[in-house]
Amino acid sequence: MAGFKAAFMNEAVKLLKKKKIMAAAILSILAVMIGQIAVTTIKHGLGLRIVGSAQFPIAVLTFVAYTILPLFAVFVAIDMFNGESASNTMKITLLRPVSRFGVFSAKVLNLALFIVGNLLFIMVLSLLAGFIFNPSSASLVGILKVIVSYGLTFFPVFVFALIVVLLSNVIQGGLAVFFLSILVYIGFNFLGIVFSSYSSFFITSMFDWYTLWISESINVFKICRQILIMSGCGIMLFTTGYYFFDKKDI
Amino acid sequence: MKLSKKSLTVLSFTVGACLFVSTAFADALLGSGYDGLKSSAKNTAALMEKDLHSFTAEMLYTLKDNDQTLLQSSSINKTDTDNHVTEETEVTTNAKGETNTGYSYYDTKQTITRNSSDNTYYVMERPADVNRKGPSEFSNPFKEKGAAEVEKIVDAVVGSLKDSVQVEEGTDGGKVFTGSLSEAQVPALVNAVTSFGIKRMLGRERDLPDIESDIFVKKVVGQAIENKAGYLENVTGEVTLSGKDKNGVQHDLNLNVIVKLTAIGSTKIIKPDLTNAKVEKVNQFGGFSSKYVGTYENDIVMDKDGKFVKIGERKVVIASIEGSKVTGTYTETVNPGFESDYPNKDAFSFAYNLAESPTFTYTDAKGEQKYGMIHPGAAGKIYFDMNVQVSVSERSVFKSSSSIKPFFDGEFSRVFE
Repeated sequence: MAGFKAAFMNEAVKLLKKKKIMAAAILSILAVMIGQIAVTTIKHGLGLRIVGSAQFPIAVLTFVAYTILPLFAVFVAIDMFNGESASNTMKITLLRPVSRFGVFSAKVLNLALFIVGNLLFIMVLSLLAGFIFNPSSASLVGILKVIVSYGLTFFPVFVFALIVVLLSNVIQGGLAVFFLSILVYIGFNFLGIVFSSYSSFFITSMFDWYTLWISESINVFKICRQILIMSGCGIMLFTTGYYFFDKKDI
Repeated sequence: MKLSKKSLTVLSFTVGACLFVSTAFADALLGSGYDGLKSSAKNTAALMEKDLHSFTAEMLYTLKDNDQTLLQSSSINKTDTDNHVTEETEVTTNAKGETNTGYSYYDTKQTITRNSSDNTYYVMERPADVNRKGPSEFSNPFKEKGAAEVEKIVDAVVGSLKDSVQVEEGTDGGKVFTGSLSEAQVPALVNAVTSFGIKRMLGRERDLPDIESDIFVKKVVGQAIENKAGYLENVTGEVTLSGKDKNGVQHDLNLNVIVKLTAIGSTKIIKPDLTNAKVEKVNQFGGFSSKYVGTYENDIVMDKDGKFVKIGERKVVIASIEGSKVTGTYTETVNPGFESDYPNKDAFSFAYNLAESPTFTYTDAKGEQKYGMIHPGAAGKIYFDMNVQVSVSERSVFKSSSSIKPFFDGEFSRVFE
């Protein structure tokens, strides 16, 4: 797998050079800051403690998981496939002695790493903010819950990113893929609310599935079903995405 | 055997798709505990409306502040839908340990209430001609107008918390729904809204501790037991709210509610025996009875040149009150020399039935059709409201402040001759 490793490094370097990483970082910092300001204002203004120090990162996560995280996953996925095709740099990558499968998995793995990185960044930031501003209510169990929640949020967001990967391999124009992804995202959220009993078909309804894990009484069967749904959906999307990537004429 | 790239792709796609579709379908079919609980509640409400014939609903709620009981109230509500009878007993204990017992009995003919403070039975006869809903008709909240929309909104708000309701098989073939939310799971928005609402509520109640800062919902626990017949027979819920008062003392306010549905089909309601009890008859129409027949006067007083001047008087004669039928006349006299200050003198007679409408109609000095009302006041006094607005559709009455009669306060005193 020497070829794969090289392709992976190649993709990682390309990803790190992107301005989008900076933008994602800045927006994440902003989200945490605004969240903390809001919490502090409400605490002093109205006397309500909306979140303790260990809950603050989770409150941030509920917000970020539905906004910044999927948005930047969409950006990065589009850049990796449509962006490279458009700027004709895809050819250079494919000329290397590595199979198309190798290139595709290297790209997807990098996308996954980006999501993990973004989550990790926000988690550290919000934990810090939580400790600095509400030091009274910190606990080890609370921190563990935060780590588990952030870790688990990766899976549904990654599966959603795979939808975008599939779209960007089917459709040529990056802009079209972007709007389609946004439409899919809004549509899934909307359908998940309207047909709430069928919400398990829509991956966006699982963005907050970490609540199942950190609840007082853990619903094991529900968690198992969700894992199966996510892995089934993930395998399906990955394969289809690869199929189209493989067939593509460059 | 080595699979070709194409067949490997097809195979993995099929496996993924099968896994996804089958589990998602299974998930949708199984539904969440929340959905089960919802349908159970709907079923119970539908059954209570007609199929249960009679039942006893017991409710107990306790409010505690750091393990010290602030308020405890238990009520037993017996309902017989076949005979249209209900009976309610309520015992309330406050923080000082004082108890207060309330009792009421309703059937199609009369209402009997008793309070432990004076041990008197208040009996109110229900007029036969009032066409209203029987006392024991339970109205299904899920069938009310707009219930479906509210349900959708609640579903959306509940969102992923649906899965925190778990279902287990009960011992007698029924189902047990349980759910609990810790601090971290209560969504920040829900937490904020609830805490704010409760804070406002606490500020108004004198007996409750004044919690000022660091308020948050600490824990929510609930349990509902559905029996074999498919209705909820036991529901318990507990909410704990935490916060600090002015002095920084931590308070945990805990509200515990238990609702039980028992004696289904076998609830018997016995009308209280009033033969040796202290009984007071209460009139249906706010105490408006035949003793109010008589003449009432109200002076027309004007503030003129820095002095109060009586410029005339108004007179209400209640000629008769028979059951719910009231008749009488209204006149205004203005002393000579003040006609220009009080040009529109009203004079009319009125007759109406209190059981049909709380208002009567009259024609004022300008020939316009208006509505008026009479309320009993302190001993020997009545309030005669004129020019009130009536909204027919809502059956509600309110005074229009913009068109109150000049120099009019509405309080009339009895004239004793």
